[in-house]
Amino acid sequence: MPNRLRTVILISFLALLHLALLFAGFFAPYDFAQQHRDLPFAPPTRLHLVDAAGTWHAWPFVHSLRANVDGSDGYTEDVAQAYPLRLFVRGNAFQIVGPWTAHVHLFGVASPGQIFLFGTDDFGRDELSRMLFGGRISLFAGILGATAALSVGAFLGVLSGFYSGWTDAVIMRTSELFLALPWLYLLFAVRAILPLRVKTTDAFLLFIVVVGLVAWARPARLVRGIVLSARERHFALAARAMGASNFHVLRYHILPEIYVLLLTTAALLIPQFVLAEVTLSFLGLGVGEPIPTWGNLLIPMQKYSVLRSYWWLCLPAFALVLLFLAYHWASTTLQAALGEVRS
Amino acid sequence: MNALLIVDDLHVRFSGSHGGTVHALNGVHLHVRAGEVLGILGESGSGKSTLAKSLLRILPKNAEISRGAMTFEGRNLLQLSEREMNELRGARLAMIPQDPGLSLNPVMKVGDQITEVLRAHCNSDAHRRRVHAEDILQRLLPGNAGRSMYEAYPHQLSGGQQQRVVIAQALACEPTLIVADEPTAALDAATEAEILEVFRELKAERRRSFILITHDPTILRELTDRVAVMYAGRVVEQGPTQQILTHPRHPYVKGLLACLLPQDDLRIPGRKLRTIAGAPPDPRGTASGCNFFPRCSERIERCESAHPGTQGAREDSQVECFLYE
Amino acid sequence: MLRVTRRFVHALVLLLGVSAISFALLSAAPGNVFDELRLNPQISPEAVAALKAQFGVDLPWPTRYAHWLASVLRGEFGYSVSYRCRVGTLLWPRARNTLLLTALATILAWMIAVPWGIVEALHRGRWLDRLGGGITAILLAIPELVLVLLLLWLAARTRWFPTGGMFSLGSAELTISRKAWDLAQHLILPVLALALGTAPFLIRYVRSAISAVLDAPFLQSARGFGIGTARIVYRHALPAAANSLISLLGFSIGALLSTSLLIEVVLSWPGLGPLMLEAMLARDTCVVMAVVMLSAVFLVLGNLIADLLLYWSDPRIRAV
Repeated sequence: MPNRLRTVILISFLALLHLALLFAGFFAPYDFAQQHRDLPFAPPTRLHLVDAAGTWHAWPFVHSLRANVDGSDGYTEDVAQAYPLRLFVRGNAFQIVGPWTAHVHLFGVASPGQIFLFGTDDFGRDELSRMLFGGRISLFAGILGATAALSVGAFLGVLSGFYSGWTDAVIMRTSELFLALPWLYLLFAVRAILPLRVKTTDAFLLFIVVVGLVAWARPARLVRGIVLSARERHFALAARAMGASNFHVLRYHILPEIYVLLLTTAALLIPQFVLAEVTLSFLGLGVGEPIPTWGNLLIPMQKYSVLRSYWWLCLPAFALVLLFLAYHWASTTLQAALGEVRS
Repeated sequence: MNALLIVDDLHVRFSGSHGGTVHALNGVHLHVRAGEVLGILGESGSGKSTLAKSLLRILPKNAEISRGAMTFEGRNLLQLSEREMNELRGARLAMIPQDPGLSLNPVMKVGDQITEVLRAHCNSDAHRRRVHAEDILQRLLPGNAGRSMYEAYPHQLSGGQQQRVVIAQALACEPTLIVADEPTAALDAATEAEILEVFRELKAERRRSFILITHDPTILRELTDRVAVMYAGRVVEQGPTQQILTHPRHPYVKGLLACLLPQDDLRIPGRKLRTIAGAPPDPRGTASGCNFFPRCSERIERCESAHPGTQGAREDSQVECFLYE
Repeated sequence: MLRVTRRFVHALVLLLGVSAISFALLSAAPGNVFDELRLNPQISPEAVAALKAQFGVDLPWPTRYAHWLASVLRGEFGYSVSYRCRVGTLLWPRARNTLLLTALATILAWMIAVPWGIVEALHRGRWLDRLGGGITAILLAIPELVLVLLLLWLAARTRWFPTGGMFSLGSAELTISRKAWDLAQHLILPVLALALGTAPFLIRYVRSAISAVLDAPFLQSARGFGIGTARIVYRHALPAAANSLISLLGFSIGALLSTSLLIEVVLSWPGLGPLMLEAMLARDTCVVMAVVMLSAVFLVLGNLIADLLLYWSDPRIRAV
């Protein structure tokens, strides 16, 4: 049973992570571009339960921030003002999908109070909101890239495994060419072909799809291996002997095995393409300001002052690690399940 | 009794990965005297290989020796530390595993695999070890093959040559007891004859004792002094080879030998190979009575509820059956 | 010997194929270095046109590819318009620096991974293995980019070692030994980041390879002859596992080259990484091409070396 429990925890964690990123607008209290010019580099807002008079409250509240009166860096809390945390508050409108918009946020505080759970950046933008919106782009990039790589890979892999002979030879030799480049060099080479300046997020996601299309070689070889071994297996042979069509064999004997492989490979590829996005945006070759992604949110971490004084700007890195942990865990769980099915 | 090895009431169980315990040995008694060859006969699954591995204490991690004693040269093997045990293995007590093709390291010269055993137990220098290894190979491989064999890799040798190398490993440090676990099972008939010839010569020397595990009664007849027959993790009958093969007493041994040594001519139309009705008991359960009871053709009422235990324990021949009380 | 020759020819054909494809794609790419030059008001349109004619930009790509190949054979790799010199002269010192980094990191990563993997394999299922497995799982989930930023933070905090570059300012006047010491200090951060990024992956693989060998009947048999655990591991198990470990070596070189690209950029190590980034931003196709090709050469060479090592280490392969 502990195995079962672990799977439940894993799935709920992954679901939570994905929901939070997909519906970033709802979970984020502010818009990613909304600036609070008077509050740059504000530390994470503290939630209080005890007020200045020492009375306990049942519901958390926040104080507003004032710049230090002595002129030094940093802020002090104005304990005279308390703003209780409120759930499902109306705020800025945000886009859900396509033309649908909403303006109810999961939490917030009444104006003029401010709540920055993860602090603010140099323009006074809420880091939590930027992380959620940025994660959405990074995750989209991962899923789109992996989908592109897997669909092309699966198609060519099935083709190659099913029609051995020159089709197989051509596909496999070509895949060797693509595998002869280290992954990041391949990414850069493809990026070098595409226009240098990116205007919109959509354009950038399109880039990632192109990158995905180039990464077909490894999944294709994996799928080909599965198809070949499934073909060798006697049930497929027997099905052929009984006059089943190629399509029938493919549909009922080979594809079910490929689905599991694709799922396992997807769990490996999605983080890889998230990383592709992060790398490109980090190096200034992806989406730029003011749109946040996990890649360009890491850029401040190269600055010494940020590393020393504004630790909350390092939180996107931890979000990235968390996402990776979840996906690695999912892939090992899937692989273990795959192994059990095989044996 | 001046026995070299005495195994007393040995129990071994395996814990399965999906729960459940497999009782592989359920109270094995046997002894081996200096210089003698003891044959162990039994079907697959009767616990022969488990017994061999228990003697060297090289059972897999999920196995446990739960009860009993194994006294070798006056010391209880179960009370030795792993370090003391390692000093015995290969030096005083050696094992020849089943498949020579799998028991040699594929990327090591066969000569080096022999000197490795010498290195573990003798303090001589590298040169002397090499000479020693070449001598053993020379002895086991007639003609000029022996010395040139030193530099060969296992895949370059035939099955018979591989088995000779494994035997050379076992002989290297002159152990007093060698356990051979079906040493010819993986070989073809012609090679089997060759290897049996090697064993015949070794037996004639009478310098060491052997436990020879097999399921082939013809090997027993030619090579062993005494035989122990195993069934479902117990030794059901043991005694001098000639006596067991010609006048078996335990109903299982009678049936087994009738299957293995057909007296009647099978070419007569209508004659079938004999079999023992039923299947061996599930090793996961423990029966209160005799393990062979459900299949026995001579069973009596007591057999179901009580276990017969060893009858005639003081004599050279023993049988676990109420019929011989 | 036939096998070696065949592998060599295969590697050459592979590299030719990679070069043809990337050349075709890069020349089809929108925008080139001349477009970037044209944006520069100090260069007249006539000058740009003259340059274009000089470099034969308007020739069909097979012709240009042939020119380029000839240039590669001369070791020039074409001409860099943005750097105004032959690409070859740019490339070699950079390639040397990248190789220095990856070679050291490979050695360090393997020095961590092999003992760690062996210890885990020997303690399979016990707490030491679980602890090690947990640590590798976490390290595996930390992307190299985050890892190097963390190390950067550590270096900035402690000031134990320099945070970027290859030499300190004014190191040119130093004596050879001082210079080597300076270089070594600058190497710590990138090599550590690279090795820590690759090691967890290697550890997992070493663990499973050694575990598989430890379960093999021939090692059970060796144990039955009373050979001690330490001896079993390094004299019996390691050579038997060498086969799969060497295949991994070839594979790990590719991963290290990739990671190195990123780490060089972040830590401004003067290797191929920053060169490629600059060339990309300047649309200097020849330089991009050269770097991409060089990375393919490194990877293919790495695999070739692994293959030769395999041939040398495994008597079964030698016999074929």
